[in-house]
Amino acid sequence: MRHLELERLAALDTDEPTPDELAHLAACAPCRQEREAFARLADLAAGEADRLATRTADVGRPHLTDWGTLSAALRREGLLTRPSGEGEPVSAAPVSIASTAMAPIEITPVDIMSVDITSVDITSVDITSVAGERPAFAASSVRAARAAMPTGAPRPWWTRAAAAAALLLVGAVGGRMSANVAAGSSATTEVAALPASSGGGASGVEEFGSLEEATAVLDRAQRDYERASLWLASHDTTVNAQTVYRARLAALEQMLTASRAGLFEAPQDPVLNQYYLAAYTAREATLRQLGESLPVDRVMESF
Amino acid sequence: MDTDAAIVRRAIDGDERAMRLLWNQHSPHVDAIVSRLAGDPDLAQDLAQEVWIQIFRALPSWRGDSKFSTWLHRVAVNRSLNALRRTRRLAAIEAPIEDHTVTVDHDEGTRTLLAESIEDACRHLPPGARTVFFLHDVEGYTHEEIASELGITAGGSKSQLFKARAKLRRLLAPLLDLTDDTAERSYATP
Repeated sequence: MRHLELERLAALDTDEPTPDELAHLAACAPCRQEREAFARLADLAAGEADRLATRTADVGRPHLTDWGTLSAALRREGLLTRPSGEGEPVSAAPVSIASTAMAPIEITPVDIMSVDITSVDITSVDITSVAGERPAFAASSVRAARAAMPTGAPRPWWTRAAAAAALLLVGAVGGRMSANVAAGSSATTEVAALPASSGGGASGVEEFGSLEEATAVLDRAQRDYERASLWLASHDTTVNAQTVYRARLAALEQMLTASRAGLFEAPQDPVLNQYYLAAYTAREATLRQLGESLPVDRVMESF
Repeated sequence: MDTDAAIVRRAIDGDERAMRLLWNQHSPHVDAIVSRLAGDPDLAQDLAQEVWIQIFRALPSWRGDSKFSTWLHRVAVNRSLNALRRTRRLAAIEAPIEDHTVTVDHDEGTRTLLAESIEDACRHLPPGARTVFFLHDVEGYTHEEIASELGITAGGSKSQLFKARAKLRRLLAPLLDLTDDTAERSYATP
């Protein structure tokens, strides 16, 4: 008898072999091996289902879709009716940072905490500074942070965290640009020294060939920050652990004190401003989390 | 901590952050399904957005009695098939698999030309055969369900499946052949 056709062998997992086919399989080693190969193919296919299911954790591959395009389509379809930042006074105009001689940088919109990181078009950030003058980042940043103190209904902590990330990004870009414009080579030296003072590492400033390149990295970091924040918002199992909040608050207090002292020494340093604002925002968010985690009949007086 | 149910509820209400969170978490899974069914990367990109819109549209039908990812998987498969049908890519569902004779041997040079994974090998299948194989052997659909989904007969589904398996078996020879003493043999491709 001739060998069984491949298609016939492929069908034998569900179709019963005829007596003739059984007799041939008993006598023909190659056909038996083919049949076993098809069984292994079936196993591989079954494993594909598991692989598909675990793709959720595979973050290495780029998405087939991008959220910008998809969200626009969802709006058109009427499925997305509450865009990020709705109800919060986010200015449609580009964020503008302009400084004049000896004047502090003004940041608009004023309610910086309402800035939604997902809707800020970072490419539209307009940063202008007057040559020869370095902006007073510390004063403006602290003022902006104070202006951002909630006066009405509390906002979710992650909104604050996102706002902080946006502010840090603006501050970093502004600092980079103003340092180059104002201080020339000495400013470049100052910034280039940062990796060394922070332990060096693979992401040193010297790796960047241009402002655009560094900005792109910051932009990517912003997106990563946002993704991590969103993930934590839904997965962080420590959100009800009051002890974690209290320990975090104590540490943040120390960070605030240290960075505040640093700002007195170097009030215009954008990096110190970043640390201060990050600690400030994280402290506010943690305070709110702690407050929300307490029983309704208890008021937080200390931590 | 937001549960899937809470996030889905907010997404149904049109909350962008919740929708984006779902998209971010489940995109790799949905992308993999769309890619498998579409075969062609460009077509997969075209389909993915439509599939996501359909998923968001279908969110209210998730009752919470199964895991969200399980529900999402099934919806993604169904919506991908719908989208493919609309693009008429499945019109040639019964198209014959290219006719040639393949020699299965163990020559190293030949092996390098063969597929290295089932995902890779599936790309070499015609759309109809690939879809039937994916639905039956990967997703566990019955031939009757496939026939209903694709508008073909159960017999047609079987025929496509066996042809697909036969071609995959040849393409995946390095993975499926465990011994080196297999005699070289030729098969006439059906």
